[in-house]
Amino acid sequence: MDKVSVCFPEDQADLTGIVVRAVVESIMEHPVCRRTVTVNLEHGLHLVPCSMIAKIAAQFDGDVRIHKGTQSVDAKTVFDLMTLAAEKDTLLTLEAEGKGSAGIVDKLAHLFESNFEPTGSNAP
Amino acid sequence: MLLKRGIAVSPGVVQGPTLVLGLEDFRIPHQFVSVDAVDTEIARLHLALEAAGREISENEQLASDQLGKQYGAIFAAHRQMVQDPKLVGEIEELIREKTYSPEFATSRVLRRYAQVFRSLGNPYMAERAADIRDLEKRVLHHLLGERREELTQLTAPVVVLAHNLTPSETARLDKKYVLGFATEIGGHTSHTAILAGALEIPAVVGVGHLVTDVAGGEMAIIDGTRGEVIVDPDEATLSNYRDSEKRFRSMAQRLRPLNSLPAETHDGTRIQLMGNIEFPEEVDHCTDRGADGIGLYRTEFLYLETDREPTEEDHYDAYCRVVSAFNNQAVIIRTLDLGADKIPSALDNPDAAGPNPVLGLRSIRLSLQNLPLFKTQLRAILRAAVLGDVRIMFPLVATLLELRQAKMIVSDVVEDLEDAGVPFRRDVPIGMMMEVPSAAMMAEEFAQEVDFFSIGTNDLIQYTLAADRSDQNVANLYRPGAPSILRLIRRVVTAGRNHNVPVTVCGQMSSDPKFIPLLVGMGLRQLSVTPHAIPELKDVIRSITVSQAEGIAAHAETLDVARDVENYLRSEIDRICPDLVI
Repeated sequence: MDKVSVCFPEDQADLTGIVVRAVVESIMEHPVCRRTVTVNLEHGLHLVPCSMIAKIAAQFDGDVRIHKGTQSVDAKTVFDLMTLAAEKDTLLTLEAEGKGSAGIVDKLAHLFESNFEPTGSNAP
Repeated sequence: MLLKRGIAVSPGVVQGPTLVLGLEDFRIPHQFVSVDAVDTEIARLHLALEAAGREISENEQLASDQLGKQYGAIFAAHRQMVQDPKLVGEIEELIREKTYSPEFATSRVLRRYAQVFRSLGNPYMAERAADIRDLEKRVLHHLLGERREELTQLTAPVVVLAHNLTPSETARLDKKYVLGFATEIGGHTSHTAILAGALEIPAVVGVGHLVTDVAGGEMAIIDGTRGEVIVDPDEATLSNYRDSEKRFRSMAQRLRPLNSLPAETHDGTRIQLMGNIEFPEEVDHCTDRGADGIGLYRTEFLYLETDREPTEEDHYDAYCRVVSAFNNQAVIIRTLDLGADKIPSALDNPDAAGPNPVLGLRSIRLSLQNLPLFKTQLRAILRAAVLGDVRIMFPLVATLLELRQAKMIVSDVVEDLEDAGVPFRRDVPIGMMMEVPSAAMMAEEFAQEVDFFSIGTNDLIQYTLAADRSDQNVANLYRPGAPSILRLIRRVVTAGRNHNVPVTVCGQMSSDPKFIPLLVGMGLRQLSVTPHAIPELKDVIRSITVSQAEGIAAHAETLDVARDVENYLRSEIDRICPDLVI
C-alpha cells in the first residue's frame, strides 16, 4: 500500500480521527493476502490444474495473482497461468486483494496442498 | 474408384456410406465484418461459446462415466478455457476494434495461445497446444454453423474417414452406427487403433491423403484385415467384398458352438488357447470365446491413456478387473514395454529418446533404470495376485544380468510389501518374453532361471531378420515363416522341455491359422492370440492330430526359404480346413 501524507490545519485536528478511521477501514476492506505454496505435481502446473485454479479464482471479485520469482500472472485466466510453466518443486506466491482475500487464498492453497485431486470441493 | 493402403489395426470388413470428418484447417469465409454489425457479431460469438461450453460439459459427463475421471478432467479444463475472461476479452476486442469476424478473431487468438504454449520450455505443456486446436475446431463449428455431424447424431450406419480421431471425438462414439474407421495418420498404438480394437470395429490407419479426395456419402469399403480402404468401389470390387463379408459372417456363425468346447487336438491333446489383451474391457471378448486365460496382458495403455504417470492404484484397479474375471486361469501380466519417448518423466534426460527407439531405452531397460516406475507396477501386480493365478512377465530381456536384476527388484518389492503389512502373493511365477535373439541363443541358460517363456514372434522376427515390422519397404523380409525363426523357436522349445519350463507363443504368428499345425507339431502346447481369432484357431486345433502336426512341422523345417515355408503351410491348412476364410 502506498504511503499517504495528510496535513491538517490545526483547527481541524478532529478530522484526523475520521481520516485515520477511514484509512484503517479501507485497509480492512481491501486487505492483501499472500501465501507461498509448492508445486508438487509430477508434470508441474499443467492444463488441468491451471483450469482448477482459474475456476476458483473467478469466484472472487478482487484481483488474484500468482507470482513466480519476478513473473506475475492473473490467476483468473488459464492462458496466463500456463505461461508460468511451473515445474515440480517450484515455489509460487498466491496473492489476492480485496474483501475475502484470505478465504480465496485458503481455497487456492488447499488445491496445491491436496495436489489438485478432484474432490467434491476442488472439482472444476 | 480410389484404393488406399494403410496399417490394418482392427480386423474385419465393412462397407457403407462415408462420413468425412472435417479437415484440420477451416476455410473461414469472411475475415472482416461491417462496423454496424459488430454488436450482432459479438452476440453470435457468445452464443457459439456457450454452445461449445455445453457440448464440452456433455463430453465431460460421458467421458467421466465411460472412460474415467482423468478423461473427464481434460474436458473440464476445456470448458474453463472456453469461458476464460482473457480469451473472450481478446476476441471481443479484435471484433470491436478491428472489425474482425468472430471466426477470424477466434482463430487468431487461439492460434496465438497455441504458439505460446508450444514455446513453453516444458514439452509436456507444449503438447497442450493440441488441446487449444481441439477448442478452436469446436468453437468454429458453432460459429460456422457447419453440421459437423457429431458421432452421436448419426441416424444411419456409416464408415468414418478422418485425418485423425481425437479423444473428444471418440468419447461420444455410437457404436451402433459406426461401421469402421479409416484415418490419414496414426499407427498401431494411436488412439484410433486402440479404441477400434477394443470395440472390435474394423479400422485402418496411416492411409495418407484421403479426406480431401472424398466427398461425404460416397460408398467405401474398409478392410481392417488387409489394411485397405476402397472409396467408391466399382461393381466387381463391391461384389467381391460382399462375398467375403458373407463368408466371414457364415464362418463366425459356424464357429459359435466352439466357444464352449475345449481347444483339443483330434487325438485328445489339450492346447491352452489364451488371449492377448490391452484393456480390461477386452476380457469379455476372451471369456465369451472360452479363452483359457490371458497369455499376454499388455500394460502400456495405462501409460498412454493419461497425461500423468499411473499410480499404483491405477495399476491395481486395472489388474484386479482382469484377474477377477479369470478365477483359476492364468493371467500373465507383462511389465512396461514402451520406449522412453512415451513416458513423460523419462524425458527428464533429453538423450533418453535415442535415434533408434526400437533398439534403445525401452521396456525392461527402462524399468531397470527407473525403479520407482518399475516398483509401482510390481507392487500392484503382487497385490492383485491375491485374486487369482497371476504371473509376471518381463519384456525384451536380452541378458541374464537383466533378468537377475529384475528378479532381485521383485524380491525387494516383496520385502517392502511384507514390511508394510499389505496383502499380496509371494510366490508369483516369473517368466520372460523370448524376443531378443541373444536370449533365444541362450535359451538353455535362461530356462534355469525362469518359470516360463513366452515367444514374442513380432519382435523376434524384427530383431532376427533386422527388418522393421512397420516398414513397407522391407515387408518381404519380415516373415514368421522364415527358417531362421523356426530354428530359434525350436531352440527355445527344446530348452523349455529340458528344464520343464512351459513355452507359449504370443505374437501375431500364433493368431494366423496356417501356423497352428507347425507350432503344435514343434511341441508348443500354449498359444496366446488376439481374442477374435480364438474360434477359428480352435477349429484348426480340433481338426488336426498331433502326429499330423509333427509331420507338417518336420517338413516345414527342411525348407530353406520363408516363401516356401509359408506356401507349404498355406496348402496344408487349405487341405485341413477348407472352410476357413483367410
